[in-house]
Amino acid sequence: MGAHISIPLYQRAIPQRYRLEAGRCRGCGHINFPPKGVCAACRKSAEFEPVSLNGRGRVHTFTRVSAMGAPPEFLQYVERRGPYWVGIVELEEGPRVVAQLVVPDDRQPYIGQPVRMVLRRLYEEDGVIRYGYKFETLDHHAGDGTEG
Amino acid sequence: MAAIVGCAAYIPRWRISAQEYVTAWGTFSGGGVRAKAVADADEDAVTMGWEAARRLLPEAADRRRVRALYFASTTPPYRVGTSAATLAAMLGLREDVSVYDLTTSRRSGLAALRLALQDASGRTGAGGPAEADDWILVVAAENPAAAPGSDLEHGLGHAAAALLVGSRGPAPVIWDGGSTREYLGGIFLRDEDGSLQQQAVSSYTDHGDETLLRPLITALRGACGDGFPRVAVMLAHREPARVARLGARLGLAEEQIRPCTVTAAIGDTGAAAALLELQLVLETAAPGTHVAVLAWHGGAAADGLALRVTGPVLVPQDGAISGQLEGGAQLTYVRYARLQGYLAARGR
Amino acid sequence: MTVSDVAVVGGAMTRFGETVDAGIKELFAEAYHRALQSVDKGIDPGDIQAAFIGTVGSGGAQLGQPAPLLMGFVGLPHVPAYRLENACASGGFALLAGIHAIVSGQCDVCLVAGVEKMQDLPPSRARYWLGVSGDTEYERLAGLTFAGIYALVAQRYLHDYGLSHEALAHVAVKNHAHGQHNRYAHLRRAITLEQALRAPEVANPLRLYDCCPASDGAAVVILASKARARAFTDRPVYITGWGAGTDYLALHDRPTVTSFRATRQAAAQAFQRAGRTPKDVRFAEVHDCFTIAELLAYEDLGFCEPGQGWRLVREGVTGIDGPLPVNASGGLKSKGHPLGATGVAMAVEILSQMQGRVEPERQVRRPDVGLLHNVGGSGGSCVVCLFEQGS
Repeated sequence: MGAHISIPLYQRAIPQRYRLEAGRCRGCGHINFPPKGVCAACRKSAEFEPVSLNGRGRVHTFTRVSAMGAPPEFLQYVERRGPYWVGIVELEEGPRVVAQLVVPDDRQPYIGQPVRMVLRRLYEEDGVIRYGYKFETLDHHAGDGTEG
Repeated sequence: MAAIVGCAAYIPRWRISAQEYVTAWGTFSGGGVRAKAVADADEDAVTMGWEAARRLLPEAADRRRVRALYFASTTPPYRVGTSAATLAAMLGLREDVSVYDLTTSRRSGLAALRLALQDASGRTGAGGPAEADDWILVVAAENPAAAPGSDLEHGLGHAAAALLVGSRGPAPVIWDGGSTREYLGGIFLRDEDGSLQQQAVSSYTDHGDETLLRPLITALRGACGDGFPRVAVMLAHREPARVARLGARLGLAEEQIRPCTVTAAIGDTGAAAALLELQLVLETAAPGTHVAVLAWHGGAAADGLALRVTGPVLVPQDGAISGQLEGGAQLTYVRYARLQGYLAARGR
Repeated sequence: MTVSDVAVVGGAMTRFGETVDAGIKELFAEAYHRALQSVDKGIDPGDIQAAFIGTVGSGGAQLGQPAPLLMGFVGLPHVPAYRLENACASGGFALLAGIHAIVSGQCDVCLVAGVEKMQDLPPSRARYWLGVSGDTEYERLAGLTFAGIYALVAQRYLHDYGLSHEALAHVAVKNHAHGQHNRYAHLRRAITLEQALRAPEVANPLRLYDCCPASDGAAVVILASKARARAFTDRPVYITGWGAGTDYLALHDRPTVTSFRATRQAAAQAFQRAGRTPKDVRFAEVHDCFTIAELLAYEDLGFCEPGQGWRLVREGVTGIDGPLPVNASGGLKSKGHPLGATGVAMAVEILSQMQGRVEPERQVRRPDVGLLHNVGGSGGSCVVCLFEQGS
């Protein structure tokens, strides 16, 4: 029971998950990621041209998820890796995305930190591996971190 | 003449040292390996291969020039399936790209490079007629594992190499060849539990390696003629400590045998090892240098390749091996074991 | 004295928590029967003309048509019944649907209910519950459950306003202090600030006591039109304002993560319809699924300026003795949070406060204007209602 992402559903999002393919609205030029039914900016046009985003951005907010707070797909990951970081990243081209953050062990992310996209295994279900984007933090300050 | 145009590597930043192994196991069986590179829990041969390839080809326009992708790994995520296709989709290669998976032995990386060079020079046809400006991408990546208590596990490291091959370029191939023998065992994996095994009698395996490689050295001598003594020979051994002896028994002069610097620093990276060692040499090779690299799967099959460097091989800064050898954070053995899944609950 | 076109004439809830011997049918039945009994002058089940039931998962056993299932179970098999769902705001939207049915003249008397069974599953499968309210495809596959999503909100909020986790911990302490006296609460014990600050981390900065429990429970209210209300009670509670809001489901699709537009939208509608302002609110039940949500609620409902929510807690403004008691019931934090039932339980609480039927330690004095604030997930939807005492 519960919500479940089928393989066809995952498949349809592969251009986004592998290559950050967004849609530039033909009406107003706004970059929608992923391309929506209707442009989120002008709310009028449903026509987009594909554009691949460059994968660079900054941390808008973040959290560290422990095993207690992890969805079932990530239990094996948290078992091996320990608590993992997740954040909302604001991409250079404008859109925001939510994704896991890849952070060195002795560091914490900070709001405004630059990141770049990497491809990793997200999880495995029914034997099929789901790959997708995460963001690697750059420009670490020693001992930085927000209150937690 | 088919040539290597550029290369890039991705070596994970985590390291576990031989010393950590000694602390955990009382011994380290890595045969000249000082430390191993360790991939993260969410990495595998495909993701590492992607990282190496995207460093090599960051621009979409360059990726559109790739007409074939050869992916080599003894640890592809799917035993049946195609990792090369996933990698091609991740990179956004052309829909008409030809993809090939080479797996099952640690010679696969160099074998892939040989095939790519032959493909580029038109000797084998990959798909339709080749454009002179088209490229072929070779990626070798390894995420090996073996039973935690086995000697074999100690020296295994994780990394990926990517090379770009074209019909012309700064490091053209001057010779390539193969050899095969049947010495039973070597390194093998038969069952599904993902645990590599090896044939334990070292004198037997050494003899098998020599017998396998001797014809290649002979052919290399013939191809290089008087220039042979100046050819730097890279024997991509999985145990760096044994290279000098093997080279001597093959009749190579001491000064022409290159040490397996990469393997000593990051561990045996299987199919990727030969290509990584080659890349390190190419990063600092002056024009006029001749380099030969040999890779083999113990006692069974071997590949050899020789290049003449005529100009700088393209190596992007973030893909250079020299900047990644030392790595970053050190792991304790417990942390390493947890990452590798050795400490997982049964049934997962 | 205020009168509007729709009144609450009775209501009851089960004790929220782990009810091993009751499924959704039994939980609903218990709340239903006690709601009927709570009607001062009595009510004949035959008076009920429609039923609006909020439930998200129905305990996993009944994906489709839980409404007919439940109504048949309590002997009302032929009453038109609707199931509403907007995650944790399902109950609020059921209430809204009941209100619309009455004020549009569609019916005179209707039943509004919320029910959820969350404790039937082992922890490994219960985790699937924890993410059902977010954008499954993007938020859950980034490794987020409900707590993780709110943690992203909290992290940014604390950063923007220069606050520490302590600002959140005080909310938990307050709500437990209220809830310990509530016989229907899931967690009936006070906690100290130290306990809240040192509890294990769930998703930084949220710790165990920043998060509401997963609970079983049901709640029912009976609504009546102005014309029929006094046939049931001399002290009807009128619903004078109501509103609904919606926002992008995924947090990252919104321009800001530290304010819920859905709340602001619903509140604006409710205040406007009631001809009231936030200053007129005497007490409120707000949606504190996580402590941070209560601070956002204060700001989005207009009780204070952005970033100032923590003051209302620290200065005792929203404590039971303050001028604006919030979550005298214990809130979701202490009372519990059966997803579909919560919104309706808020209405039950407001009714009970106005009828003077709660424990004296948590009785709001002169509860003349009450506000209900029920949010779906991380702010994808919201319902706000204003209640005022009749004579």
